[in-house]
Amino acid sequence: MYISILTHNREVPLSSSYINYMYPVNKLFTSCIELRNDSVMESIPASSIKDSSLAGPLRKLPNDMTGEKRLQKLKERIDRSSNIKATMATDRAHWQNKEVIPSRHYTSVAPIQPSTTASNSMKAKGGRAMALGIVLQKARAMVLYDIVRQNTQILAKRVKASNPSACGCVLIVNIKYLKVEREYGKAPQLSQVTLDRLIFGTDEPSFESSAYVRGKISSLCEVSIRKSIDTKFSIVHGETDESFSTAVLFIKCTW
Amino acid sequence: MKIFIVLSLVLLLPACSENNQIVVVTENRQEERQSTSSAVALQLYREANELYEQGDIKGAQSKLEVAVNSGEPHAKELLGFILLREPEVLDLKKGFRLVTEVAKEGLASAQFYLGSCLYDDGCGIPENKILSAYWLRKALENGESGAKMLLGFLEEDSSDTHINETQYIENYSAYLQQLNSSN
Repeated sequence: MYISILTHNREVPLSSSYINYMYPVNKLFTSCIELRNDSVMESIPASSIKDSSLAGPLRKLPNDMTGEKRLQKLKERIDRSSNIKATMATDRAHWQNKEVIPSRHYTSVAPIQPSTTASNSMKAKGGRAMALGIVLQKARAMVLYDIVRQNTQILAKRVKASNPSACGCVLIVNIKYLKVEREYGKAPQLSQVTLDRLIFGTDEPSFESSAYVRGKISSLCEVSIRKSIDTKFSIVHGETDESFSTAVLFIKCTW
Repeated sequence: MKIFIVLSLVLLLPACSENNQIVVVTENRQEERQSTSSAVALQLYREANELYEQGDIKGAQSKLEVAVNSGEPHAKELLGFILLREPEVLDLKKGFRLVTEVAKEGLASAQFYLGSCLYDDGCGIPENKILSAYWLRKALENGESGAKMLLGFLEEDSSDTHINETQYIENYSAYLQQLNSSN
């Protein structure tokens, strides 16, 4: 059985980096926003701070402003500036009813900044995971990965047994996570795995990941305007309480 | 007589308060020691996490072993998980024992992990549906709502998923022997 993750860009194999391909439900589905339009970002002018504008000689000045401190201040200013720019970009997209998904273009959606204890590789690998507010820890992610893989495989095997004419299926995995930053503690949990659709031999060649995910989002938006979904094979959407939210992973199994 | 009672009270009261002070100081010291040791264990857990992220499995293992001795449950869970999963340090029996211990202490993620992995041999450990049902039910009771699906499958396949402690202990010992022979 081959298991892959569906995203709005492409299809990727299910691996321990699964956490980077999860969609935050409260951001995507309940706010009913369209998919990303890169041109929105390009139209916003970048504020310019010259790297040299605050730099100085590496010697102690009367005000104790060493080069290191100046450099630190410069970095802080760049940081602030990029935060303001990121917030502007997100706000404008919201006002135009455009989609805003956590990505490098919409960094302000990220409720959690990389913690100081995270290594550079952790920050690089876990960009989107942090944007989702999921506590980034290799260990927690791996434990959850085994749980997700086991549960999806077991469900897919049962789907296969009860639908011999199908050659695959799409499963929706719901992950409940803490939106607030924690050192460690309550880890993201697998809250539900549901069967979304079966794939038959005739569908398989034309099945496209991006079209599926885009279609899913738009159809869910239409439904969510009318009423909340509460069926057996549904996405658990919205926030379960103030500190928790849900992320969703689209998984395709073929056999 | 009255004078004697008053005198004895005067002598006894300061002695009692001194004793109380000693008890309070001892308790405070114990609390301080506990909090220091848990802070050290937490730091070790963090460092182990980073080493694991960087691919230094053995380095992570040695840090976690120290943290486990301080009774850090998450360190115990992670060490057990690494021993079950990583070929470099694979020790199924010890790994399973550690994850079971922390699951017994009530860590829901460890309970769900055991329940899912014991359902079949997908995680590299032999399947055991009875132990799986036991841990899935515990996880569900502890708020892991995802455990409902596999528990439902087990209910469809077998008649009873309410495993009592005696059944659990019998199966656990047999399972450890099975792991011994597979090692």
